[in-house]
Amino acid sequence: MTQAARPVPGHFYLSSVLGLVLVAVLYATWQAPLASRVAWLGGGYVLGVLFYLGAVRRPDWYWQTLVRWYHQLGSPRYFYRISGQWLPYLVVLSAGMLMVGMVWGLAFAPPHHEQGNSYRIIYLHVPAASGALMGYSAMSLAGLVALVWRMKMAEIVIKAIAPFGAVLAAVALISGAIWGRPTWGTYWIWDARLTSMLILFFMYLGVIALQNAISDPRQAGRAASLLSVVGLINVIIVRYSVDWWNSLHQGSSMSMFGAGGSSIHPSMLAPLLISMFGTYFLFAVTVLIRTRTEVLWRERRSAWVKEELS
Amino acid sequence: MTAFGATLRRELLLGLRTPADIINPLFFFVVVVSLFPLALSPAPDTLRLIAPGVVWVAALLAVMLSLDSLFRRDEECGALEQLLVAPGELYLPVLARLLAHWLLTGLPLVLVAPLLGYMMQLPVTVLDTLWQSLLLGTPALTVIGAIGAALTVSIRRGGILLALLVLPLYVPVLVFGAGCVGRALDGMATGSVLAVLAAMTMLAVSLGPFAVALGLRISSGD
Repeated sequence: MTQAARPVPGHFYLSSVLGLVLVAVLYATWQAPLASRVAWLGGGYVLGVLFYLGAVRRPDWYWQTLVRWYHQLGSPRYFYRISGQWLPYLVVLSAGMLMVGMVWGLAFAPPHHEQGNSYRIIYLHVPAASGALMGYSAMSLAGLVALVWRMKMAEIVIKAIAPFGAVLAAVALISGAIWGRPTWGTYWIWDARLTSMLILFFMYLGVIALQNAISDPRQAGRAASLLSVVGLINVIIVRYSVDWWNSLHQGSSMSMFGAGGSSIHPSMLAPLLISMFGTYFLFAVTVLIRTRTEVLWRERRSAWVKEELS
Repeated sequence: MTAFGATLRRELLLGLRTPADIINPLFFFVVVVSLFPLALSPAPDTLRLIAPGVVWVAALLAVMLSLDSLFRRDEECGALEQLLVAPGELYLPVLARLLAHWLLTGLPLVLVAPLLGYMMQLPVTVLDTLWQSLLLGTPALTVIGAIGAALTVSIRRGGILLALLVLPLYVPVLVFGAGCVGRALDGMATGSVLAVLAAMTMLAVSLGPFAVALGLRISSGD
């Protein structure tokens, strides 16, 4: 009996991914208190079942939506139109969350029992640092897409991410130095995390410098893509090597799966999370604006841009 | 395998006929290390303390500076273009080229390092660790640097840019390389650290040539 080769239904992939996630969560929560394990596993289970039911009802929906998004966002014109629709919401979200998170953290969160009020710079420092790290990962992901599928939009996105990521890394370094003075008694020490953030900053600068040195925009984009993909592997290895080399920084205060859960008190954690997400949205806003400008410039000879700007 | 052998032979031959490309990095290595006693102090205790880092940083800079000649000459005479349009995978020819380059510029550094270590007052027992760490670490330096060299080959004055791209990528190798010698100096066991260095070199040598090949294609405007 011959049958036309049917594409593997989306829920086949989905269930394998969900299974892997389940195993990862089981592994990561191994030492966590029972309540938090139950909460994570239960929440994950409910989400997974909902996801799976949706996949059974319409087998290829998730996958095809992803593919459609990929193709649509790869078109500069579509990207320009749709990002223009997202932008106002993102601006409001990021401004709102940053405002709430910062004011709450700086003015209303309780003081630290050892560090007093000086710890409040955490509401700037941690969002900036995590934004810089996340930005590099996003840049490398875009780099992979640009290298494998030669997607023009991904190259543009890399160019848009690099400068803001470098700024965030610099903010993290400077705020860390200011925080270090009252806490450690010095602006700078060669501690593991400070050092890896410094290296991350250098790597952002490398991507920017390479991009600027090559005049052909496509070639510059692809070169920066390769560098950022290689750089991501390096960032991960650097992190572990400097940990081995020296560590003085206070341990990570936030951990979803750690032995005692998060060691930071909820009244301090909430504003921190809010300002972190505000920073991510700010990142998204900046990247979208820079990408839109670059799209207009690169497509300046096409009819739709002339129409858009007339 | 013929592509590998032929490229290796060609590169070694070309290298041996332009000895300046081999001698200059070596000379640079020796000169840089000898600057440190002049700048700091001739006191043996001080020198011993800084020796692992100084030798490693100087070796790292020497490898990086030698990379400029890796693709530049072939790019100028058009041989690189020929390599890129030739049928077949680029992996093996690139690997052969890197191996030849390491044999001509990396290996001499490894051989000279014990002498410099001795001059920097390292105890004789530590010299073994010094050359072992360089033997395991310099191939990674060559391969990682070659990625940067491939990306900057079409840029006219790419020297300082190459440094900016490559030096951050060298950090893990430097940390473990110099750290390994430092541990030996403190009388600690170094086997595990050497193993980590070897692992990094394996990673770089196995995956690096793909990145170098891709970098060359990108630089040629493909």
